[in-house]
Amino acid sequence: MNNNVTSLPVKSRFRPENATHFFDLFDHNEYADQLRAQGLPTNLLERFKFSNLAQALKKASLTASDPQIHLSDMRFCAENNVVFDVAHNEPSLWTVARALRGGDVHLTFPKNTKLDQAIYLNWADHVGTMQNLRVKIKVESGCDIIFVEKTAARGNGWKNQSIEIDVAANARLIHIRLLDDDVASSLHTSVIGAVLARDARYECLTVNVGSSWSRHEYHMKLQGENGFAGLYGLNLLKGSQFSDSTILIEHQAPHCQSSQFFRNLIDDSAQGVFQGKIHVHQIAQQTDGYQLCNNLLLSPQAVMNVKPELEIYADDVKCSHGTTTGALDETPLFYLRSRGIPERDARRLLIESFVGEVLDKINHDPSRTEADALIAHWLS
Amino acid sequence: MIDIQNLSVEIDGKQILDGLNLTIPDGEVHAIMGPNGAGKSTLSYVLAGREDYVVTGGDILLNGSSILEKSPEERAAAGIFLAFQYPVEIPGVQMTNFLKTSVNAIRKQRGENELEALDFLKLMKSRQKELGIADEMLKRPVNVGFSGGEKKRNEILQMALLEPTFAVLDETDSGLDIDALKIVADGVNSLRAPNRSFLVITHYQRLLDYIVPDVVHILAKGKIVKSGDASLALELESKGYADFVEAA
Ligand SMILES: Nc1ncnc2c1ncn2[C@@H]1O[C@H](COP(=O)(O)OP(=O)(O)OP(=O)(O)O)[C@@H](O)[C@H]1O
Ligand SMILES: [Mg+2]
Repeated sequence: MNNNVTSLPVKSRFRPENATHFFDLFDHNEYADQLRAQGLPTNLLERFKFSNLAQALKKASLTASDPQIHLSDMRFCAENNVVFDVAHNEPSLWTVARALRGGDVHLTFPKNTKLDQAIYLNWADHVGTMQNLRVKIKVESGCDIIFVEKTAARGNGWKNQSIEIDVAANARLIHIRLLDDDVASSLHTSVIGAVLARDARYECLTVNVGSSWSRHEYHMKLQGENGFAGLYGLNLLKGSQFSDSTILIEHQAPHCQSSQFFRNLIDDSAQGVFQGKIHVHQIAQQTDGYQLCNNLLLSPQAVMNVKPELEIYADDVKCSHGTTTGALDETPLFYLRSRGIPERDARRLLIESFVGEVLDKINHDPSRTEADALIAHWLS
Repeated sequence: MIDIQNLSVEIDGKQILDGLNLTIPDGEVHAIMGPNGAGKSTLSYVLAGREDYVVTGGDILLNGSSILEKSPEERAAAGIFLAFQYPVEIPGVQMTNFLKTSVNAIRKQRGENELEALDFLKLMKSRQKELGIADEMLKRPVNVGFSGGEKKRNEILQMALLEPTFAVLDETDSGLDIDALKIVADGVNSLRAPNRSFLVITHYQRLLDYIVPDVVHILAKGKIVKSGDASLALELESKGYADFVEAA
């Protein structure tokens, strides 16, 4: 892995220093002041019902460091003014990302940019550090971009990131995240906010097998007609891992579609959370909102918390949600075994098909190969 | 030879089979008929080794040795095959991959070489053609989106690929149109061999015009209550089960 940071357009550099207190990781700005006053998110907040960030960070003794990242293609590193608008009236990951010391990466894709190759952002080492990465992506009209994020750090650390995305009319962004940080002692928090214009398409596939504690938030705003937001997620958790996927999709224009498809595979005493909300504003007639969350518990101690929510103010909409949580179904298992397939192989085949259906949502062969490898390793 | 001796079976604490006796010598085709809920599918599951059915008494012998301790996959390797009454949909597992995995799993357990992709495809194509199964069906996930009749044909395709020595067909004729019924019956008849036996579960005498049984049994209240030749099926068709169930 290449940790070439010097050539990166990372702003607001700072020297790593010992942080004896959590607030030493903060910058001096209004958001830091706010968090000092509000405190970190805890499960007293509805949106953090199942995850307590303050608690998760209690034991972490970290120093702040520049994000150690590498970009495969530097041509599009150009400053932009993308800002994902959110309220800061209660503590959120947005406030955290803006308050923490960190680095900024801006990617700007000019009109009609179509790339044959995906752009990769590798974010590796973080040993003993807190790294905060703020990304802003501006995708101008007519673009067709694939953006792949990869993390594979060993050792303890905390990665925090915010990704602000603007997808202009008739542009398409595919965003793939392959997350494989150390499962023993690393934290990962991220918040993605995307604004979609007319006929824009944003699809995000997160494959997470890493981190001891993670929370990934997604906030979509469909602001032009005929936009499509697809969020797909796969969490493979074991040991005492914890991972929370929290989603808010706001339909703010008519004729848009959104689709959420998440699957969690949970072993040992690991815990997963899925909170997905579709908010259809009054103007958003003919919305088509879909949500499905399936969870497979591989051990009696495995825990999954699911909270689907619909908030609908328009009258002509089609919204559906479904969720299932349980052990591997015995009937297909018996069917496969009755055809001579040994139990171990039959289980594996069923698990691979369970995760495969999420991976099938995005068509990008190199990422598929890597995701398959992560999954094969997890299963072995 | 399959020898079922005094078999009693429970599920969730409810007794379904109650001292059932049935012997099927090599090379023979036996049919079982019986009212809904009599325990026909239960018998088929127990033969295939489904674990939630608890054998509380009796034994099942395949060529003289008990199979009760064997797992479903071991029974499959030993030559037992069940065509399910309700074939199971498995989203995400593609048909061809499933068939190849299955054929090779059995070959492996038997100590035979696994088939290379090309050899397997050749084998599959030839069986598929005989049974009138479209290529398109084999690109789909196992049984997903298949019509009732397609699912049943798919069971027979699996049987033809695995070449079992003892096959149980649980209502394979239900949901089949006349043409499909003939195709399925031909599939079974072409596999008839001196070292192979069949147990055909059905509600309809019609199937037995195509697959002519050596013996017909009536299963009611968890037991075989009457056995006879093919004419017993005709008798049932006209009289119904009442007399036989009463007598039991
Ligand atoms: N899990 C279960 N718990 C309790 N009873 C069960 C369970 N599974 C099956 N049974 C009962 O066992 C009995 C036998 O069922 P089985 O499916 O073997 O009947 P069948 O003879 O195949 O009927 P059909 O002709 O309708 O296919 C039925 O009364 C059924 O309700
Ligand atoms: Mg039945």
